[in-house]
Parts: sequence; C-alpha cells; structure tokens
Amino acid sequence: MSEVDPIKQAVQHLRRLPGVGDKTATRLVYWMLRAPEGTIPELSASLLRLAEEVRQCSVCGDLTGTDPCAMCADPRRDDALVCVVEHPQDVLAFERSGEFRGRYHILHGAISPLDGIGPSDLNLRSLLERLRGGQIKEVIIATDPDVEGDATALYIGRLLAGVDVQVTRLAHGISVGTEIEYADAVSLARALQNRRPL
Amino acid sequence: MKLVRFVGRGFRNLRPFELDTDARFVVVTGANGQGKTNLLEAVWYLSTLRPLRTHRSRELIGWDDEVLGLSGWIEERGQVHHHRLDLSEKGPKLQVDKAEVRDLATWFGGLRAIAFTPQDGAILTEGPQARRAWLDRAAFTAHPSHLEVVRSFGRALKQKSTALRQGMTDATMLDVYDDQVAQHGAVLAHRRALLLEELRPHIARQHEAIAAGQGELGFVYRSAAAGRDVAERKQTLLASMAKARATEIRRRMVMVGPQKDELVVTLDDRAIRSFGSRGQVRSVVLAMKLAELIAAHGRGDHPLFLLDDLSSELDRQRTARLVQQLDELGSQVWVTTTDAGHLGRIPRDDVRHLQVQAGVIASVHAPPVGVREQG
Repeated sequence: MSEVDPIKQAVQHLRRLPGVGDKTATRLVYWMLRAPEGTIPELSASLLRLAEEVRQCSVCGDLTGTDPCAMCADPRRDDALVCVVEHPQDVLAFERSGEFRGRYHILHGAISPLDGIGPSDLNLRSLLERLRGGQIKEVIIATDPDVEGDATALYIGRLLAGVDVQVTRLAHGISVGTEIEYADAVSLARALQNRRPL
Repeated sequence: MKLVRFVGRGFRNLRPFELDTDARFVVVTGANGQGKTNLLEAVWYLSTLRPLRTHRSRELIGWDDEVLGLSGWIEERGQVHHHRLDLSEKGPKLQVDKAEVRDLATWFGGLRAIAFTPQDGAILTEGPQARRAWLDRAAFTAHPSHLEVVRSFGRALKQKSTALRQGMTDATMLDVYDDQVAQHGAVLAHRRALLLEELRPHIARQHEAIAAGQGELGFVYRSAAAGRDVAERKQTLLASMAKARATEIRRRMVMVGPQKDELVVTLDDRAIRSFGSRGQVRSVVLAMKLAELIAAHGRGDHPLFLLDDLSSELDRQRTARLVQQLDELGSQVWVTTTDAGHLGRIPRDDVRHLQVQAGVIASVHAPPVGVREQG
C-alpha cells in the first residue's frame, strides 16, 4: 500500500497539466471515480501507450505511433512541397485549413540562445537529408512571426542557399475577418511589406 | 481626447475615489506629500501601464491593499470607451469596454498622455539611455506601433548578445543575428530620426517662448545606423557589424548598434548635459514635452497633458502664458500645484478643481483659498 492518499496523488499529477488548477484536477479525479467501470484502466492504458509507442517520425519529425507517420506514408500528398513548422500542433493548424497538400517537416522549436536552443537542437539534419532525395522543389518556412521564428527562417534560408530548391517564407498580414480600421499596426505594417501585385 | 470619469482604489496612498473629470482643465491642489502627484501618476499609469516615478508597478499598490484598480472613461470623437485595469501580484488584467484586452495596441490606442514632472530634467542630465528612452516614449505616444519596434529590436539584440556570451562562433548564425539586429535597428533609428525632425522646430519655438534669450538649442541624433532611409541605415549597420565581428567573438559581447545611440542636446553649441544650469535644463525639457503635444495636434491627435508641480517650474507670468497656450491647444490638461492662484486665468466654465488631503480626493467648486506654498 502506498503512503500517499491515491486521490490526492492523482490530483497532484493532473494539476501539472497546462491549464489545469487544483479545482479542475479535483473535479476530474472525482469524475473518473464515478465514471463507468473500465474508464480508468482504459485511460491509463492509453496514456501508457503514449509513453511507450509515440516517437518522432524518422522522415518529418512529427510525433507518431508508426514510423514513418501516416502523413509521410500517404501517397496522395505532393512530394515537391515541404512546409517547415516549429511544433507538431502547427501541422494540425495547416491541416484544418485544407489548403496544403504537400508534406511537413517539424523542427521541434526555434533557435533561441536565451532558451539555450541552438541550430543543432532542431530537427534540421533530417531536412537536409530529405532534400538530398531531389524530389522537393519548394521549402515553405512557416515558423512563428516573432524574433526567434524569423531567426530560424533566416538561418534555414542561408543553410539552403547552396541547395537547388526554392525557399519561401509564409506571408504575414491581416487576419481574415478583421476590418482594416481595426487591424493592429504591426500586422498592417507586415501586410504592407508583403503586398503583391493584383 | 478627454478622461471624463476616473475611478480608482488601492493606488499608492490614495483613498478610493470616483471623480467627474469632464473638463478641459483638471486642477489638483494640496500641500506637499498629500497625494497630488499620485493622482497624476494614476492617470499616467492608466495610459501607459508604466509608473511615473518608480520602475516597478508592484510599488504602486497601496500598503494596505491587495489589488489596485483603475477605471477610466475616455471620450474621443464623440465616443466614450471604458478602460479598466486591475493590478495584483499576478500582474495586470486589462479590459476595454468590458472585453479582455489581448493585444496591447488596443489598450495603448485608447488613452494617450504626455507628462512633465520635476524629475524630467534627468532626461538631459543622465546618460544617453535617458534620452533614447525619451525619444522612444515620444515615438510611442505618436505611433503606438513603435512599441513593437523597440521590443523586436531589444529581443533580437538580447538573442545576439546571449549567443556571443555563450561563445557562439557559427558564422551563419551570427550573420542571421547581425541581419536581424540591423533590420530592427535600422527601423528603430529611422523612426527616432523622423520623430526628432518632426519635433525639432516645435521644440525651438517653445523654448524661445519659455526662455527667450537663453541661447540657441541644438539637437543631433548620433546613430550607429546612419543613412537617409531604412535600407541605407541597415547597410551602415551591417558594414560596421562585419568589421566588429572578430572583436565581438573575442570579447563575447555586442559592440555596435543603435543601443548605443546618443541624442546630443546643446545650448549655443555647448552640451547641455555638462554645462546646463538646473533652470536651463528644465525649460528645455518643458519645450520638448510641449513640442510633443503640438506635434500630436498637427497629426490630429489630442493626448492628455499632465503637468506635475507646475509652480516649482516657472514664474507666474510664464505659467499664465503656458496655461493660455494649453487652453488654445484644446487638450485635456491635468495640473498639480500647491497654489491654484499661480495658474493665471483658467477658463472658469471648463475646469474641475480637486483637492487632495492625506490621500482623500475631494471635488471643490473653486480654487481653494489658503492652500499656498507650504515648503
């Protein structure tokens, strides 16, 4: 028998999750205790599988249970286009748009000496390997539009200067649904910089 | 723009207050140490989220209070917007018209203010940092998007300096940081220079009015990013960075950039920082602040003008002239003074008199009699 009360222990673990405080953690624990039989074992089993089975895809770096991941294995996607993003969640955002049919490459971060992250800490080597295959015609760099994301984009741009591939940066501007009058000055300035002929 | 109603609690020594301030002039009287300036600082804080006299917002929260709350109703172009700020240990919470503010530009676009306090002489007497800070503050009041320029530059500079301190020698990576610092730095320097050009004639005229015959003022912005436009400034920076590269790597620190720029202010070609008397310094700073206000009017913008302890700055005649000028400009003016009689002829129908005593703010109908300079 463990010394610590199991309810308290579960609460303590749950409140480490982002966005979960004491109250929510407690509510979740009591919900699980009252849930139909099997709920807790199934939840535990699925969490355990996360720890045991999920790893980085050897091609794109996305987190996956199968290697290569479903996205990389999908024959219907366009091999000529690769979209480089900072985090796995960014892939989901692009997929929601339904606009992009190419492939992805996940860096797992952005270069930031302040956070102790240098180029060698990013998933860059495998990007160069992918480019060596020769199928990729365009690399779209979709890092965040902040100082760290820009530095990462500039770095990759320089890294790929000698490679025969088109490198583009995702355009930034005014979000759809925003009236110009209410757009913030920074977005408006970026949109002006990135304007294009009609 | 007018702050027409102002409500607050937990701000320094001030007791909870609810003020009708719907007037062009708000005159705050009281003996020294009663909390006049605290009220002015509360307005400044609501506008800028920065304290006027300390570096830490936490110090603004009153001794016996857990949270500080300020609420202002701001009237501009016939519309009234409600800005609400709650500051606790956890940080500030901002609302505009009851909606949580996510983008600071929304907040800063609301209530803009220019302040002149007896401590502002430091802008000219302290190190270059103080003058850069003034330029950036003035540029921010003129164009709130300047905040993002300052932040991006600061962030890029910090990343570069951290990389150097950690002993980074990767040439590609250092090129990237030079490029970023040069890009943001060029924009920063260019905006500062443009703003100074805009203010310069106004400063000269105001200075002449405040202190005729004191001498000819000179303002020169010496920037590491010299050039006529952003592109040229960036090239200048990149060239000096390339020259400094080996030294930067060896000394593990950033050697060049607009973070070291200087705004040199001279009076008859002599640096005011070294030779200016206290009185000279004050009149120049006042001219600089008035120039900001006048330039704003030129852009069709009417920020609040906050004047702290005016009586200590100017003699009666000059004060009266200043008040008349501010009246003509039409901005809402907040003045603290120990002696309202000092202000000359304030338009009677458009003034609110507030009296502060031991942190309690009371609305009074006329300038209180008997509150005179008490040391």
